[in-house]
Amino acid sequence: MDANRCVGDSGFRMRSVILKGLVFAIIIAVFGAMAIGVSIDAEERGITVIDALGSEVKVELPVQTIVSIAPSNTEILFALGLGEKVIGVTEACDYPPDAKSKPKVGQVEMNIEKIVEMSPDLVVAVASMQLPAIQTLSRLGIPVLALDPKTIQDVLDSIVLVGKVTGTEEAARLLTQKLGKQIQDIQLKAAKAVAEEGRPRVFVEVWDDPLMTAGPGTFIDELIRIAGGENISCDAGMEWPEFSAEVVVQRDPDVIITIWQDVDNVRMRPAWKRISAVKTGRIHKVNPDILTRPGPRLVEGLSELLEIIHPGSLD
Amino acid sequence: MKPDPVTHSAYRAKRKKSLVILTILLFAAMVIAAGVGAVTIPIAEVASILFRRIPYISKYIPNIGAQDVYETIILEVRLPRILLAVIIGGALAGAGATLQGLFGNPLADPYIMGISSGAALGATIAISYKLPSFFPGLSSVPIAAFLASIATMTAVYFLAGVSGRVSMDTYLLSGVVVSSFLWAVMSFIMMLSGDSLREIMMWLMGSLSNKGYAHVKMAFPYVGFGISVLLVMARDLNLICLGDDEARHLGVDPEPAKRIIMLASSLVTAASVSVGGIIGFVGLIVPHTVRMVLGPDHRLLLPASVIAGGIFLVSADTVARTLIAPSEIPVGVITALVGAPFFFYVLRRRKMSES
Repeated sequence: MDANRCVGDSGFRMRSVILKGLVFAIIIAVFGAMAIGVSIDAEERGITVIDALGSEVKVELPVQTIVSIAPSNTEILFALGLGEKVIGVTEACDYPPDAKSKPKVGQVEMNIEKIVEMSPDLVVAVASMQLPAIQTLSRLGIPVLALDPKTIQDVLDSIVLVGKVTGTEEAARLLTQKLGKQIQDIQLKAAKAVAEEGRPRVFVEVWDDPLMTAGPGTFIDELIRIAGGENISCDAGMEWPEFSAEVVVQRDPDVIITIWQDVDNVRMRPAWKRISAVKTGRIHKVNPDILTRPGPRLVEGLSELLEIIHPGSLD
Repeated sequence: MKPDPVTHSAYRAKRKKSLVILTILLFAAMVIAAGVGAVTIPIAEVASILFRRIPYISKYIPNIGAQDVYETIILEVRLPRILLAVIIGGALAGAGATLQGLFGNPLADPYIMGISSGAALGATIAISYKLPSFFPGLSSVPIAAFLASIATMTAVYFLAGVSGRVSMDTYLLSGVVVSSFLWAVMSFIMMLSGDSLREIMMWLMGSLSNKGYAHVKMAFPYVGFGISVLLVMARDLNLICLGDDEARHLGVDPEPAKRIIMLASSLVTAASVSVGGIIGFVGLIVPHTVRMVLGPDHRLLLPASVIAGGIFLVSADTVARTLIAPSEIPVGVITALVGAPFFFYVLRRRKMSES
């Protein structure tokens, strides 16, 4: 360089132009090579995870098109910012509102042909309910990720798993962190309320004819416990039992939560007039979706339950 | 027709004795059912709560400080359910006995006329579309089920009756066809409403859970009226069983009699299915068992079947609500589980005594 500097101006300029061009060319070449390298890398990059059925799910990244065959899965995908990539949902997928305008692939039974025609990069299913569809789709070479959360922690884990498979780990991390913090906050407030006023007895009326409730193993049971209540049907022995009306009268719940029947209809039942919840008017109707769908909105349900079970403790 | 005076009076005595015994058994079953449940209530308190309600003897029964809760459980939870079990059991068994005689077909049961599929469709619509209820204590489900089953009954009647003279085979086929059609419509609605599948299934299985006096009041007038008509028609039914010509010779015009019997048994079936769902086996097994024991004369068979149906369903429902307490089992499951083996036992015993 020193030698060049000693030469005349024009020569310097000349060489300087060549040099700049050379550097520019090298930079372009390097970046170009890198870019090619990345794309080659991406084409070869796939990710393999173990899903809720214990099967290996191999997905090629980036995932561009996703079909969700359960409302809870749709909610998880949209919460991770993948709404744009969702190309198919079920008739029951009504949240968030944007999901309603997506093409439908089925109601209870999925239309396998339609899903195959869409040939999505990934189908997200529910393990315990959709085994036949999952098996058929896998056999047809479509990657199916089966989720099967049974507890709130499972839901958070499912969100992380979906994040991993769809290349949205960061969004999943932020979302689960936020939800985890909200849950912790509610747990603290519930613990404080329980210390002050004990655990109110809660009966959840899932259905009235026959009388059905949410037993152990359901999200409702877990949410009530976290929100500082006691589910009076925790000894029912199954998830959605037909429950004895006389046991409800005897156990005398402080709070009744209905998810279908109108509050008035529960209040008017002659046999229930002695129940504390009926006498004090603590009967509440709650949207079942935020209590039963294993998605991020369970935390909403949890905070609503805390407000119902321990009024005022949320502030 | 002048019956032989000796055998006739003997028959009347047998009839009276059988019905008295059955009635005593029915009351025993009801009292036991009132005392047994998921909540254990001491027998003395049960007796005190129950008998203090009966006029005249109430003043002799001490109030042994029965808890309010127990009183509510027995009078408001168990009693309406027991009454409903008696009404529905009696209705189904009475209708079953009638239809088996009318069609001369041992497989006939109250559901053969398509009434139950009409009720099921009505219930399915009410459940899937979450129809609002208009009566306190009653949801829209039993009301929709009742209206739909009455509509079905009318449809079957007119579809079969276009030719004027209704052959029983035409009636039977009309019922079967309407029934298949309605089941298909119902399956279609069920498929479209994924949300309520479990609730519809539970209704279809039949249950007496969570019923109050509103249900009793809804079912009783129709069942009471229909069963009364059937009891009055029992003698005509005997003659119809001999054949149309024989009936005519003996002074009964078979056509209107058949129609009245048809409509009355459809009505009691409609009312009971609407409040209890499709409880199987009662209308098939109870009449057969009663017929094996007491013979085919409808003047005894019908009232005896009605009472025996009540006994059977009250007992089955008591098992249904106590076996896995505090959870319950749909009573239709119990009637089939207990009914089928019991029926085989009766069948075998009769065969052995014949040989």
